[in-house]
Amino acid sequence: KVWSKPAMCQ
Amino acid sequence: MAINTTRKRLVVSEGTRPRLPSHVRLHHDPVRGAWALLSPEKVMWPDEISLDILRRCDGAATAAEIVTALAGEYDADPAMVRDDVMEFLQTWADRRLVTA
Repeated sequence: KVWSKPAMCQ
Repeated sequence: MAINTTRKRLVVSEGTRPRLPSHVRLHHDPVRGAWALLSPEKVMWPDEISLDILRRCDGAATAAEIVTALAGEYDADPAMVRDDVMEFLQTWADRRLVTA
């Protein structure tokens, strides 16, 4: 698993 | 009579124990094979990393503990994970999808 900036879209 | 509807803003710190409010929950959508974050006003599609954060928002773990766990799980720089997680939690706390 590679960390990246978490994103959550509506 | 004026009704005071202002709510105190949650400022997320490392000692905050984040959780999902009672009106918000994670739901697996079999149609898309993805997890959705459901609230009465909106539906959000979290990516895998967001999901890993949200699943740990159980009201028991502190933000610092969540950061430590994720930095270990992803073998990532704890400082980078901390910055991203704190920003994520604050953003969604401001939109009432995370509380403490």
